[in-house]
Amino acid sequence: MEESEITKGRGQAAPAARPDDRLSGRLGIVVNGKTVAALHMEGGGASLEPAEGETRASVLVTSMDELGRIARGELNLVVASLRGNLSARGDVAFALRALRALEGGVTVQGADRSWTRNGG
Amino acid sequence: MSATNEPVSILDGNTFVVSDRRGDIEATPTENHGLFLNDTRFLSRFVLTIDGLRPTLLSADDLAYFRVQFFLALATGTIYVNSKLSIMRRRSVSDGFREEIEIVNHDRQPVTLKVHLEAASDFADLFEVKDKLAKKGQLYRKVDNGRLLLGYQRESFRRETVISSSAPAEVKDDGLSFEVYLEPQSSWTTSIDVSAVFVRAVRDAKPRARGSQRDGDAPMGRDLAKWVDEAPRLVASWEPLGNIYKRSLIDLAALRFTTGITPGALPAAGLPWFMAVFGRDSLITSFQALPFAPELSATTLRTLALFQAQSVDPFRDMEPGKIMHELRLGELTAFEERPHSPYYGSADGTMLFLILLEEYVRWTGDRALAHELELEARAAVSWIDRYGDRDGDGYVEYERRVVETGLDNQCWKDSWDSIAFADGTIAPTPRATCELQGYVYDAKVRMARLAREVWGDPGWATALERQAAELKERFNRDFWIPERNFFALALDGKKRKVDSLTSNIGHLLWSGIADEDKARSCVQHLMGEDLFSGWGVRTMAASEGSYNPIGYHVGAVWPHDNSIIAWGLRRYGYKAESAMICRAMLEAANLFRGRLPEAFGGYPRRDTHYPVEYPTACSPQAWATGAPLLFLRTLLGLDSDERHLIVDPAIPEPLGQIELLDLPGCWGRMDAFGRARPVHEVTPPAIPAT
Repeated sequence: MEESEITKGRGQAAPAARPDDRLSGRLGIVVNGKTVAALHMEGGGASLEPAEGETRASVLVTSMDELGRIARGELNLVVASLRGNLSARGDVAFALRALRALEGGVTVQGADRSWTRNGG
Repeated sequence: MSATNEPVSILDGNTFVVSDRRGDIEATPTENHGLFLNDTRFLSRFVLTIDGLRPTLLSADDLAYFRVQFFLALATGTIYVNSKLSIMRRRSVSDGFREEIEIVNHDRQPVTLKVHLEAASDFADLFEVKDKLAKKGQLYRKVDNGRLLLGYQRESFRRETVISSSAPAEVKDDGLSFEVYLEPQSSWTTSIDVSAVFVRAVRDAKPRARGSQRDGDAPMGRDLAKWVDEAPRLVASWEPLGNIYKRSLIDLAALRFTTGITPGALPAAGLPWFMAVFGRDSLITSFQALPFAPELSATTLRTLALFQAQSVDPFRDMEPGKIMHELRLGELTAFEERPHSPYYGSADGTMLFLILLEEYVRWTGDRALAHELELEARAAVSWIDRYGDRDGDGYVEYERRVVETGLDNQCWKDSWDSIAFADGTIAPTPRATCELQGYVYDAKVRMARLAREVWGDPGWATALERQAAELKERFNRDFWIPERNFFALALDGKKRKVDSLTSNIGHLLWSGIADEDKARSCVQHLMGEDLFSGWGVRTMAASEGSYNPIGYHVGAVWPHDNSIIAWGLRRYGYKAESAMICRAMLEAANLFRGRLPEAFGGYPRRDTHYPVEYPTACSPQAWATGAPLLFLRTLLGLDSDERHLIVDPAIPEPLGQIELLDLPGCWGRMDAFGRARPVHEVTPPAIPAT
């Protein structure tokens, strides 16, 4: 099996990635046991904020780059979870919805260029 | 008590244990034994010996779908000397399993015994089990704090099995040993816990409260009793129907699958290989079970909505708006050697999602769910037009994007040879199978209703109705084979009509896409000798080139297929024909001890006193389990207009009287009653919108 055949076109962003304005709340980001930031989802958009404050759920990752790879469409959520590099607690459905918005290409205010597809 | 040589399976959600009838687990290339969780085999060997001998089987009792007990004795080697030792193994499953081993000494002398439990795991992915593939990571085993730990690691993917005992044991890396001294007429007991562990690389900010270890099987027992109690009560004068109904309810309970993401459970596809979330299977089963357990539909819809595709990914046959086909959680998925994270290779799941959503709202009156899933519904409709119709010819067609890992057939008849011309030639892709077009029609009609009545979008409703009407007109022109008087199975990649006579035409009646005059011809075919075996409608007519009575999708009879066809016949007013299918299938179910298999042989009933078992049928399988429920709905003619329960029975004479008490729906709880009357041939009434 040629790897190039399988990966051809993988992870292309949806031409019409849809904003989900039902998605509202904060997702804590825990890296190696420490809450380092929060992803604030509101009105179909997202922003990266300081960790302080209430969260609906938390996502546990081994590094911030994992989230960057998800945002760039390079890492599949289920794959990351099965490999033990991503987990969630709290309102898991909210966490999944927020991560899927990230995976779907939602623009994250406050994130560096590495979170942007094609380097912004 | 189960039949003699079959393995014994117990399950809870996506955890299941398959052993021999002594309770021993011995995975071999031909015996797919093991403890399986999330598509991984956590235990491949678990063998009990006493003084080096394997106890012999007295009996194995399947007490419940999650619990079994094995009665064994230590053979003396001669029929002239009675065994003096009884051994009981009581096993229940939940995130692993717990087993209580009890040994009773019936002798007048004390005995000292060496009891040994040999344990090992190959941590095979289910796909590796099926395809006999080799592992790529490292297996390890160690004794850890008095427990046996079996493990597997490949990069950050790590799984472990922990085995511990309540009685003092000598633990070595091949198992647990016990020195047991038993006085005359006394017993010894130990409880063995086998836990499956996902070892994650991520760490939490605060320690998570760990749930207590399994508290025995009392909660599951209570849950099953509650599930059965809350289902409508059936009173039937044909005695076997009660057994069939109860079997369906219990099997459906066993197949419930909890994701931990959405509240509630949805039906997994079947034991043993399909204890996973499937789009098509979960949707169809939820549809069949809707009048009996509407909560399954809500969970199915919510879960599938969460995984609705939002980008293009050829590896996963994924396109925005598409509903997933299959989600797997094993190693091969984790390393993208299989595309099931999730895989989106089914062309019908997206339409079935829309169909179930409208059916659920109409049955339950739960418009909140329609509002909750409006965005997903709109995205699904967009998929139909933008991606489902790949070449803009007005029909949904499919073709896998990656030959090595994608499914060749992405309709429900997903085996390689299912879409063939009458002469047996396989139709080239892309394939636009007829039932897909019916589902599109039905989905658009149903979405038009929700758009107008729930979402307040009459403009979109009108557009959808216009599209549906145009599709119906086009379909009845382009798929009809006038010289054979039925609809083509498909249009192939060259837009030729695939001219085999198949059960797919029955799905067109369920959808309502067939013109009435053409429907009449289809009914004649469905009930004719080539398609109707006497036990049910074959997947392919006996007259076709590819027909094989034990061909999975080219001749076998599928109960779920028949349940959809029977409902379709009712929809077009063919009550007698519908009742005939329901009766034949229920009679078959009775001969299968109440449990319809996934499929059975298409041999003519006149040649077989019993329906012929299909060699590798999955059992219990979700939509076969749901089939009797849809047959009951069809016999009683149950429907809803989102205010009232509609009852319009058509029950054949031998089935007598059927009562379903406390049917849940938008009316609260209500009873439905019907009794057999001579069912006359009827003039088809006007076809209701939905």
